[in-house]
Amino acid sequence: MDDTAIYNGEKVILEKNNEEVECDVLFTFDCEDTMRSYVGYTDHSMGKNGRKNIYVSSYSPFDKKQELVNVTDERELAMIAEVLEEIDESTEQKSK
Amino acid sequence: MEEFDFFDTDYDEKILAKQIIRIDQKFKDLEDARNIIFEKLEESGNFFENSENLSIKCKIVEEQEDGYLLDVTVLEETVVKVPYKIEKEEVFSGSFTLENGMTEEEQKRKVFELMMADGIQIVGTKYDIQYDEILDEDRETKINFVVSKGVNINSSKPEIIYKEISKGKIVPVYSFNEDIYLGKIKIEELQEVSSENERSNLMLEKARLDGIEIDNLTNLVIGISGYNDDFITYVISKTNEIEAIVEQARLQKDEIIETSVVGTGSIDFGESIEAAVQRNSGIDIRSSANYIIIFDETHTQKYTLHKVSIKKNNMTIPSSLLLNTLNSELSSNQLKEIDFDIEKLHQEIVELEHTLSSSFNKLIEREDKISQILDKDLLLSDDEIVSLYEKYYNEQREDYLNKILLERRIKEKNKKLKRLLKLKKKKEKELLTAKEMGLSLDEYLDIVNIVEDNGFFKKMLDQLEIGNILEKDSEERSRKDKKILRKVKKEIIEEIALRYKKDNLPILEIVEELFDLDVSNGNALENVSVLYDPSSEVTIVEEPKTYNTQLAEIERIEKNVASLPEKVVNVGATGEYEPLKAPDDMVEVYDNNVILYEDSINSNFYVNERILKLFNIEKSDDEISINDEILYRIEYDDAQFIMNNASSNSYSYTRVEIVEEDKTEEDAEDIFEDDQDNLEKITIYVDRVTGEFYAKKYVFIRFNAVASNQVIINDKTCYKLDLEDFRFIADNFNNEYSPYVLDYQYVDIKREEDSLHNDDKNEEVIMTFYRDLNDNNQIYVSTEILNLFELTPNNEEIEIDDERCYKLSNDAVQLITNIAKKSENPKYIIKFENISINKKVRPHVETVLNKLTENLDIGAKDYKRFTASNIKVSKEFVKELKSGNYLYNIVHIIPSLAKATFKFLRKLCAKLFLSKRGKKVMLELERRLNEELTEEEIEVLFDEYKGTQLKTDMNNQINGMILKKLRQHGLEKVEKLNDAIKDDYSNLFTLLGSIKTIDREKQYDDLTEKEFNALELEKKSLIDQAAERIKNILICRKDANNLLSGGVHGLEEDFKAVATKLSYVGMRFAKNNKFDNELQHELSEYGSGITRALENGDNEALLENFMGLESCYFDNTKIKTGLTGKRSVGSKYYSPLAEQFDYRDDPFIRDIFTTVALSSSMVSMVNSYRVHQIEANEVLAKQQSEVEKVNNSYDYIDQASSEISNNKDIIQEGLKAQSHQDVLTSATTIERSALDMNNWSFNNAYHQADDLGHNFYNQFHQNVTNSINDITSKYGNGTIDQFEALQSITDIANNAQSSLIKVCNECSGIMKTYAENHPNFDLRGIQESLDYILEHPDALSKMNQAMTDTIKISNGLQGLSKNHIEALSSLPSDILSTVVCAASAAGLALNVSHSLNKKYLKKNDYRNDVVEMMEQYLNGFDYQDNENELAKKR
Repeated sequence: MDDTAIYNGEKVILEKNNEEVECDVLFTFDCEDTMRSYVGYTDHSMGKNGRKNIYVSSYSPFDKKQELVNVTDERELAMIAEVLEEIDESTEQKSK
Repeated sequence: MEEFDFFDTDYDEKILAKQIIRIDQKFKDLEDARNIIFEKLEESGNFFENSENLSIKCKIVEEQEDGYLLDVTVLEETVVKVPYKIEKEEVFSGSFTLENGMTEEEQKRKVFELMMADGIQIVGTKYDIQYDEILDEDRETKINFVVSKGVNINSSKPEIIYKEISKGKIVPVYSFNEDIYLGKIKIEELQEVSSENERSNLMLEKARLDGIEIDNLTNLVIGISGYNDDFITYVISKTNEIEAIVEQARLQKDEIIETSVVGTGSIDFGESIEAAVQRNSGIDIRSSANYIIIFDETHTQKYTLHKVSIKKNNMTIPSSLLLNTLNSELSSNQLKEIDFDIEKLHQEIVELEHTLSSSFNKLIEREDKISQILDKDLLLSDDEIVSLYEKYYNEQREDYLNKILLERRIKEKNKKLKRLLKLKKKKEKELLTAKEMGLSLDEYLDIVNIVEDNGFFKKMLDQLEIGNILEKDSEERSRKDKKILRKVKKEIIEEIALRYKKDNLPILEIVEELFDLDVSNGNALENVSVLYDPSSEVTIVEEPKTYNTQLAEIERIEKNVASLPEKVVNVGATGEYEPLKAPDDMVEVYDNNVILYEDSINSNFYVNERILKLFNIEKSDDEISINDEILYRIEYDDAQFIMNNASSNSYSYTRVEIVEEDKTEEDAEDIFEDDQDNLEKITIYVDRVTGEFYAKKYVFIRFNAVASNQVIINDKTCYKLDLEDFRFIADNFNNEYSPYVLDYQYVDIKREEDSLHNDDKNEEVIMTFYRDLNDNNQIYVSTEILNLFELTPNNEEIEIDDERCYKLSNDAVQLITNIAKKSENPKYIIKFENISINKKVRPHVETVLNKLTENLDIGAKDYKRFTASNIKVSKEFVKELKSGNYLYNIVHIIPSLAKATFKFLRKLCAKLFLSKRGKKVMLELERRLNEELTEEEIEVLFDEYKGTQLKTDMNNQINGMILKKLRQHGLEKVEKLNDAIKDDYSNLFTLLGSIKTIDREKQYDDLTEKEFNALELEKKSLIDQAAERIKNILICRKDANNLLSGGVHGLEEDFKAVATKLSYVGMRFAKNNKFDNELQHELSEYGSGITRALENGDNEALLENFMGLESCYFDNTKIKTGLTGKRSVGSKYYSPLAEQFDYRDDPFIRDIFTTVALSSSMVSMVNSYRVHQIEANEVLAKQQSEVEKVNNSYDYIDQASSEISNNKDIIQEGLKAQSHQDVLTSATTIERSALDMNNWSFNNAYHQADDLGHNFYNQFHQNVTNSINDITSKYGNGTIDQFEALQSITDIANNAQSSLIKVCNECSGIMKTYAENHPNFDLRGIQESLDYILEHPDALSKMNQAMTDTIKISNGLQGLSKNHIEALSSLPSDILSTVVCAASAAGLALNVSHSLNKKYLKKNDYRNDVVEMMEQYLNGFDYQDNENELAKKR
């Protein structure tokens, strides 16, 4: 069976080699242009550079089973970067 | 085939009475309701026997102030048997001979075998087989059978009884109109009545008279079906609604109390639930509303079919009419309100969910429809496709938006519902408690209010000595504390209630008495004292409108909540997070300002030591001091680098201030004349001998004068002032705006050149540098000067003083200036002349952009930008971000997830983003870019766009298109420069050959002194020429590399960085192998040798060091070939030409190229291998044969020529395909080299994945190599002859070719989509190659065969060479054509070998022409031709 990741509305369940890893959802957003929704999540793992890994994947809001897929389109990536920046900025403003 | 096998019980209803009655009170319970209703009915003359067995249905018609009008229907129910309709479908019939002892099981198997043999797929459905035994003519028992597909119903008896079904939802999924009456009415009759209602009633009345039971008017529709002069015909239809899909039943207790399972099953893909039920259970649920389908929670395809029976309670009555069993008018009203709200909300949610579910179904249907259309491969025009896409896209989009909206609304409603349910529960509890205590709700609440008053409660608790609990904050109270409080409160309330019932005293009095509290003076009572009237007998507050108030409050809160954002983040609540601080020693504090000093006289750049370090620039010896700061001169390139990289873009915050060097410290002292009111003093030095004027540098800057001839006056550097400039200064010295005084000093000037130029005989060459004051002092020189220094013009010519002039780059200016400075004979003297080129003022970039975009309606998304909406962030993440404790890696490719392929929907989006309008706009933009922009305008765009110079808004909408053009423009420039470099190298190596020859000749003993000197002189001249070439190479290479790394490629990187805010800078690493210090030292020696030589004008040293450096690079370049491509493993990578590297930051491209290229490289390999190992020898051997043999072969050529010339075309086509294929091969090679070159590092995991991905091709490669080795060894030991070997290899090549075709096929589609979406990569070449190979799948195979054939024939040709063909050209024309044709075929074969040989070397390796030259040079190539030429000259 292929590995999968499912977003159940609360958590992202990564299933790899028949093992389930529960990831915390950090943010979500929709995009009317692509008619897809996006979810940012983390398994709290750290990269070799000491940074926390945030995964961003997309899913179709029309699918009952919200299976996640990788984001490879450059425009989607650009949008994700913008969203992250927006989140970061709004957090900064709020903490002021 | 229909059968009725099973029956179920149902109830047939007969209306006994239908009447509107009025009731003035609510019913206590159902029994009460029944009694009252029958009483009322009897009052109006309706009498019923066995009334307890009759059913009553009620509906509120009108709610009046003091009662209700009810529409009551009395029904008699009779039990009827309902047959289940089972449909069976005959799927197969046949017969077989019954063998002795065949069991029933075996017979069944036989039947299934026969079915399968007939191609019928046996699916899980139960099959019904009917056997018919007959005796055939041979008196054998034959079995005729009929197989039907049908389903048995498991049970018709109740199995599950739902005593209470209160949660979940019923979703009406299907409604249909059933015609129940077809009537005819006189028009006259209708005209008698006036209102619509009355007309309808007339029609209904007619139906009733005809015996049609019309009980419920709400679901009836009356439609006119026809009319004539007298009559109208009409149809009365009943709307039936099927509640089919139920996830969990939510049924009124009183309505349905029993259901029974009558079937289970699952829905097949794409099947409706009704169809599934019909298939599985044979029941048509569309015609009855009495079925419920409950889906399995875990398996949404599985369902259970329930039959609903109404048995116990034959009375339906609106719940609002029933009083709560807790007998209180007040409470029931409050609860009623809540119930009403709940009911309303419930209904709304159900409706919303229904809408949602139907829109989802609609969407699925639409997607099916679209994919069907697409599958059909219709021949549609572009416009039709676009409009089709647009139509469906818009619909889908609407659905999407609706869905989001609906979901939000459902969520809100659910929240509201939850709150209401909670409130209801609380109210019910209060009512129950009040009832238990024998109090009215108001009485109970009064007691509670008093007890809950903190003042009282505290005092009461104090008496019990537990008052300290209340002193604690509610959060601090333990569970035990809370339990005690609840218990005590309950006890106190009970005590007060008991006393209240007993004594009927005012509650406050009871409280006072019981707990000995002084309520009259207590602060706590202040609020209630207003309402408290001791004189009144009524002891309770009169109108405790608490519920109403609370409801209003809830509504208000809800309203406010609804207007709040989805999630409210408590901003100030996270004070405990302290951001991490970097250790002090890690914080580098430095000044961000980058000050670049430019000497406006000679355009030298200077920076301080900090900047040198910051940009890792080597410190030069040329230092000056400005404002007590030591500045070091830097190269123009370094200055350019600082300007490009220090500007304020997204990844650097440093700022550049270009400060023109002003008056240096040494000038400062005499700027102002103290006693002349701060008048500026301008000192002019006059040469006593010549009368020429000189001044210090600042004077030239001040007056924008032209400086020439540097001299030293009073130990200070001065320059000669032109007469014209002097006059200007002298004429304007008392200009009132900028007053200055002139001071003349007469000096004896010892000019620098005097010391160097004693020899009057030395020739002087005066060169005029035209300085354009309108273009930042851009220097122009005439073609003469360019030729003098062997510089190639690479820009447009302009005419200055009737001379053809060209722009000079800064490097070239420096080069010429240096040469001139050091020159002796001839002495080059530079004369500057100020000009103003007005005719050609470069247009501003914005003007060019305007020209491009004028009148074009460019949409924001024409360059495909996506916008996010509805961003929600988890609280934890916000906290974490605020804490600043982490930095993050953003990972968008999870190895385990599927790659987001360009699915239908996304393809649709991509397509739509270039809508018809967008497409038109972009096409027009492209046309303007290609056709309307002048070279100069393109140049302006190029200059502005490269680096990060244009950083205002980055014009995202149009950049894609502009970049494409600029890239092309930049690459053309690079190509020109590379061509110039190639020419220079070629000349250089020729010169080197000649120099080598002279050196050899100089060794001869018999040389006279004169001859020796002549050789020396010749050598010097050659060295000078070589040095010029080297200088030119250095300049061109630098320019080309600048264009590629900072310009052409920089365009992409910069835009990517700006657009995505992701920088790749951090991803670059050093080469993996150990750093070679020794080599670096050696390189450094050569490097500084070059610099020194350039500075000293030592051409011989320049040549020596340049060749040393190049050879050193070349020697240390090692390219290792592995299965997955070529890799640089040496310490250095030698690249004499400027190379551009596309695709380097794109793993996708890399994958696809590696895959395709691996296959193609194998084909190339096989082909070239053949040519190298077998055919080449053969053909080349022939070339060496003698001329006579050609003559002997005429006859043979004549015969073979036609066959050969037939093959010519085939070979040509094959060659073309081969070259395309080589493009693919080289794509990977270049890309991989690029990765090495740029120090990209992919981690091991990536390489592993890479290897795995290409496993197939590796395997394939291995097989091909093995096969070739096998053939070669057989050919080598004579087991097979050459022809057989060729044939075998051709077969292998063709096999490899077919694999390539497959791969190309797979990749071509993906590639196209990818290319469309990545305009930043120029992938046209690759695409064309893929397409060509796909369009000519046989080309290579055919060529291989033709090659074999040609070689076979050329055996007889005995070889031909160029000389032979020349000889042939003198033959009579008819023979000539024949022979030349044959010869050209043979020549073609030869060319194939050469071409493949060359291509193999050129494309399949990293090298190019120059590398080959270098190799030859290092291998001691003796340049025989040059030597001969030189010898001839002499």
